Amino acid sequence: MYNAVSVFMENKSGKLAKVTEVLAKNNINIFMIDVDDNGQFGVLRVFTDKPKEARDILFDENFTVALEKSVIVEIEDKVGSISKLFKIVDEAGLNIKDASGCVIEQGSKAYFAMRSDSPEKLEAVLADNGIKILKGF
Amino acid sequence: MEEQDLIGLRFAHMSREELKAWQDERLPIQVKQAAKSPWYAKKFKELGINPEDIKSADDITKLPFTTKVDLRESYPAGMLSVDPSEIVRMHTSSGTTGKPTAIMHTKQDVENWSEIMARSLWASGFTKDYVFQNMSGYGLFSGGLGIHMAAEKLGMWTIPAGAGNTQRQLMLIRDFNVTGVHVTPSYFMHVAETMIENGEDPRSLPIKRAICGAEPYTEEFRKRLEFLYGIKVYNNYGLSEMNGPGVGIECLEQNGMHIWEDSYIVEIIDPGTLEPVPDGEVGELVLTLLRREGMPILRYRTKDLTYIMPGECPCGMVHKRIARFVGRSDDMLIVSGVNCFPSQIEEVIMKHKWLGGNYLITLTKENFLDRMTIEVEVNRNEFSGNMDVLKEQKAKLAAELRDQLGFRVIVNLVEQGSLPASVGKAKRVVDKRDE
Repeated sequence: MYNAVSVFMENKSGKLAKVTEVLAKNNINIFMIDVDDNGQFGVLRVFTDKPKEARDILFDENFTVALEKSVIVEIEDKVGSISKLFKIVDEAGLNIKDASGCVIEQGSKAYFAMRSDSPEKLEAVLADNGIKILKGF
Repeated sequence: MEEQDLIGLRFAHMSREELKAWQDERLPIQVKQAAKSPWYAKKFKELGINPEDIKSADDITKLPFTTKVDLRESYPAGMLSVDPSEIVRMHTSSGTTGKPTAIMHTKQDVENWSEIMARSLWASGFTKDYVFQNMSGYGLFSGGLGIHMAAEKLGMWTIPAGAGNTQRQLMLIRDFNVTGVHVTPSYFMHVAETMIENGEDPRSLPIKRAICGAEPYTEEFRKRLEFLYGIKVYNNYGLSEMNGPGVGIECLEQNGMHIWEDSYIVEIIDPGTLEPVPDGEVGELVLTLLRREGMPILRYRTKDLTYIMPGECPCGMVHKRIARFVGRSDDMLIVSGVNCFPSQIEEVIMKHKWLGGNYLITLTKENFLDRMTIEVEVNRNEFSGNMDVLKEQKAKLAAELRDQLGFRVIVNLVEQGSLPASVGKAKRVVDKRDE
């Protein structure tokens, strides 16, 4: 299981910059970010190769932060990859709450992160279908 | 040789009959003393009251009420009943609402006050063996010196730390093995939160017992303090007009505050009709001083809403108990025609562990409608990391607040530490409806 670093933040300017600045200063590489915005406040999810370290650094900097289970898969960066992924999920009768992705190497490698009510099951189903699962590095 | 009763335990153990007899004796004396002040002399004359007609405590209803406005009108010395040379001490009210008022004490008044305050500390379980840190502001505020002299009278090693400077407070507590503190509840919470922020456990402190007062707080807030520190927290009520701290104090039962009836006559009235209400019924607390010579105050309307708890306290003391305050007639908020108190909101918030202790209520007007926004801090140590959980928690909170208040409020979640820190009396309500 992969851990996303979830940061609670009020919807105010400069908040995103502050989080990423702190992580950059501490040499934490961010490969993907997604923002779940609820109007007055939001939860920022940071994906990094050092989630536990990132969590501790942000906590020490007085952020409201916690780790959240997430399923991250490595897929080919080509037409039909995501469609294939969702077909597996659909056939297994699983539900995905939100998802985000990013290209790591143009034309060959992409990461795709999913949140689900049953992350363990989702991960198992994808692995059974030969999808490469990213573990916490 | 008889042991000296410095803290008036003879009064603490009086029976109802003995207390009544004492009050019957004291009230006429007190009224005659009040009549020596220019303000009461004039008032009695206007109302045709002859102090000689006050023959027992039952005659109290013949006396006029005294209000904060009266104290302001008689400012600075209109209610003095002695020659100014007899005065040794002055305090002012904390000015929770409006301009402060000045209260003067003779040497004997200071003695009597420290006696009942020391007795209050005794009732809450303090002994001379405690090392006691007074984390309350000194100066004009009566909670500083008032508690200090009582703590000394009880024989405790007393540290006049004053309010604020959390790191120094903690240093003193650790270095001098402080076992008892007096502190405002909001500041006590701030200290605990500061420690937790720094990765320290408030339970690691040597404190065993605290008395809290000077601002209203809920039972839930008290329980949270007791849990965080792993100690007992006792409520203490006072107002400078009635000396200061020590007017109402919790015994070990922690179930209502006893009012020392050797020093005060307690009445609960309907603030509308000014008629007394029966025990158990909510009304405004009215207090009459029985043992003050410098500046006697009769039937003082405290504006604090409470009720007399019926029945006997298991602790054995017969001094009447008042319940936790329902609110202050001044604090009452009227939102779109509905009455409510900040304490009702605090009660709901304190039930949610995922929230921190701090909150701020803001009232605004939009399209001629009142709107209440409540900002609450998300507890950093309880954050789930999950947006759905957070949304559910917020929805549940909003629904509970709506049930409690009877109208819809806007709940805003904010980061811990973003609301004004609470040192001393916390400012919880901002009313912008006139802006």
